[in-house]
Amino acid sequence: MSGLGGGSILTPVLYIFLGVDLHYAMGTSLVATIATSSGAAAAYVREGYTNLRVGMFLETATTTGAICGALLVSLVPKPFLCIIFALVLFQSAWSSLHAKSEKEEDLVPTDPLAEKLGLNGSYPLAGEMKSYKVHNVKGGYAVMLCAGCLSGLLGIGSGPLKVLALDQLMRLPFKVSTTTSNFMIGVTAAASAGVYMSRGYVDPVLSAPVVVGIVGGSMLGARILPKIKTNILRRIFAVLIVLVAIQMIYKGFGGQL
Amino acid sequence: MSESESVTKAKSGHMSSTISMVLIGGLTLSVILVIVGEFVSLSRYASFITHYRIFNGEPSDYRTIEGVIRDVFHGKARAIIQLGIVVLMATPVVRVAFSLLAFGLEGDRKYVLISAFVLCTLMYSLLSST
Repeated sequence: MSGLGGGSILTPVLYIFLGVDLHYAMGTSLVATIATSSGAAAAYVREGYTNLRVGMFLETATTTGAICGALLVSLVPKPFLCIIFALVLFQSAWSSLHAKSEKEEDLVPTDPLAEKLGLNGSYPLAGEMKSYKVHNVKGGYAVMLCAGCLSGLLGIGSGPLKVLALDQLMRLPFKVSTTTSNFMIGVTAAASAGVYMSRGYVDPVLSAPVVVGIVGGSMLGARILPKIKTNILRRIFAVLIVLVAIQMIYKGFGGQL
Repeated sequence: MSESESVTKAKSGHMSSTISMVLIGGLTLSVILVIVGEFVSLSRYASFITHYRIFNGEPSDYRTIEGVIRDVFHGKARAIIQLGIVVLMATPVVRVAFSLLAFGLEGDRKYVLISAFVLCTLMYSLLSST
């Protein structure tokens, strides 16, 4: 519900605490990522926060990146994967603490490319639709290629990096950034899922409890979002990581009875 | 708001609710399959211990969509769960296909092309597992 996905916490939990092999952990996390994203997106899209055009346009970058990343997994040694993973987690922590709240009135003219692609949109704020402009499309696109690649390489959604591109570079409102990022994560993860499956990283017994738990949880989370202020949202993210971790440890043991 | 703008707004509202329905439908089907598979497996093997410390990769049947479907017809519990996961993976793909259709109905050629590109990328990945 914070638009930051829960997949990135699942891999360390499975790998470090439950002793699952890294490739299996990544496959399970990827499945979790698709479940989280789709569950939450179903609600967000209807609420009118998600910018479908921005999402679809940037998905051309994230899916291409994801397939490249997924094909690289077997070539990169596991210790390196762990180091890259740790760096991504640092970025997540940093961005959850430093994300800007609502932006001031946007006086800078929009990116001509955004105009051409019809990316500018509006979102519900205080009972009415507030319009916003999209900036720096090329910069955002470049970051999305990297985000896609990391997603495929590590079996995560790379939500924090996507939010960084949407929120800071393209300067979308925070709620639009998080929901659009979440919307894109499912498709990004689906792009690497085929490759992961054909390599045998996706295990039914490990994935089953994760799917059932997450679909319930994320649908619930998305229902609460429209009623919460953004600054509270970020604090909840920190708590959420802990809760997901506890839930996963429980499910991990409980799922293999 | 001009008439054409309000028509576009109404259409995109329609698109949002269709996308939302596709996602919910896919997830529901996936969860049902996973739960059915879990029940079947629990009713057969009260305890099965699997070793995940060492990576062996999944059996070849669970790496391809045809393999999974073949095993479902043989009544294998894990294959039912894996089918649920395949449905989950396919959900975003179906969502993109519906977006493509919706942009087509709106007559938005640019976004038909963009959606088609995303769909091709996803199909490439999914078909690599057949």
